Amino acid sequence: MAPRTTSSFDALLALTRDLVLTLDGAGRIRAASLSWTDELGWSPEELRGREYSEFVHPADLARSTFEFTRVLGGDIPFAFTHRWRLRAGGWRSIEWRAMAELESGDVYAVARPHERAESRPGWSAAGAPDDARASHGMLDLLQRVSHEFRTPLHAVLGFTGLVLEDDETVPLVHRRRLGRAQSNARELVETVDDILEWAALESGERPVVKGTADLHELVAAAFARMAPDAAQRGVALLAEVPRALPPVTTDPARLSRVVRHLLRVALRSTQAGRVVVRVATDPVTGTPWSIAVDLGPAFPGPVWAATGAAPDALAFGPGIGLLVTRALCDRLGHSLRLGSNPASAMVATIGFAAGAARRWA
Amino acid sequence: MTGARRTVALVEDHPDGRALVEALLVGRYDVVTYANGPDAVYGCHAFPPDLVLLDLSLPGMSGHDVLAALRKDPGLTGVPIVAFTADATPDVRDSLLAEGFDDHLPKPLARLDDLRELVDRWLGVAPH
Repeated sequence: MAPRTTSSFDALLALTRDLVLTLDGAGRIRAASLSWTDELGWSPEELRGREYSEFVHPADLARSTFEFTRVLGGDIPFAFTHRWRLRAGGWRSIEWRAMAELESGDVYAVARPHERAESRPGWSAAGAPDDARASHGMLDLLQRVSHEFRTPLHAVLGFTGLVLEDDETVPLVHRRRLGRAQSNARELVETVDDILEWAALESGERPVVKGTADLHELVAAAFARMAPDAAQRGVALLAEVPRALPPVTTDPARLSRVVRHLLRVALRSTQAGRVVVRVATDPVTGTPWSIAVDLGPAFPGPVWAATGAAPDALAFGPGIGLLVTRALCDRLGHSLRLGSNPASAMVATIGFAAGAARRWA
Repeated sequence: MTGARRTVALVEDHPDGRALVEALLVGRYDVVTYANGPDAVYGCHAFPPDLVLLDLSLPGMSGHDVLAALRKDPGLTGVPIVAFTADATPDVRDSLLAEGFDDHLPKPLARLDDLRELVDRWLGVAPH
């Protein structure tokens, strides 16, 4: 008796746990994997020679024909979902990927039922991840978290904004309350972005990008971004920036984020009705640039001593803002110093050390 | 305004996201919504819109795959496709334009008028 021969493709059809079909150009099934029996009850022999349209839910047939025609035309493989008849009765949703072999016109299709768990990109399939994979996995997770936050916040900000557009029927007191809700929603968006930015730096996924920044433009852009929150809180944003100032070497996008974060802290804590940003020669390093932001009321030294709290903790609170802001400044090669000015405001100063310029070269 | 109203197709899986865009454009444009990619590819083929607003994070078929499919549909030649996404990656706009999107609008909207102005601009309509 001659030994039985099995092609590689036959072996694949026997072993795979996905649902595999090959079809001719008319949609007639040529071969099916054994997994059909487990998942939908049909044996490969029962499927072979029949048109796929016999098994598709009538409501999904027009769409299925459209997709099949696109695949025959050489279109890219894609995910498409429709319902297949179970042998025991009823229907099951199946997600397809398919492509055609252009010479023969045969179509290769792979599917999986929706109920099956899928592996998630960015997560290790087996074994303990190394540090790089772990960092990348953390960044991937945070990107998903960011998306999950931003999507509902889009709706929150959008619908409250729609209500606020109606000047005539919304009482002033309600407008103010909705404004506060919006301000907090925007703060949450920024916080999520801060965390994402920090994780991207820590993982090495998005390293520091060397560039130059015009601090006059940078502060103006930060003010424009924060203007709605400042208006909502009735706080004026004031800048003292020399016109003739050489550009500073930095990562402009990251530095902007740091300045915006300091402005958020200042908007929260100021009692003066204004927040002042001053760009001036750094008194510590002597470089032409330093950015000082008034954060709000300063606490007298005895108060710090009595509470045992560090001044930065008093200014920033227990949140993650200071952690992220300090980490960004550190990665940029800039310093972040906290002190107070003669007007008894706590001041955060971003310093650009002379050595930092050489580090960038 | 004379003539038929222009149609905006929105591909968005979040129901409140769909409702928001409908509310923002009501009275200005006809909005057709699709909750997933395959529905959008089929629907835009059968009923070509004047502009597509396309979310990227969609179940099953991603917005990137939807873009590729719509670009291959000869009936949709010249229809602008705008990425409307909650992706906060800093260089996302550049990469989306390089991929073939005509424009990019981030979520959440900085101003509600950002959406209206974008649609007006792409459809050549004077601002309302």
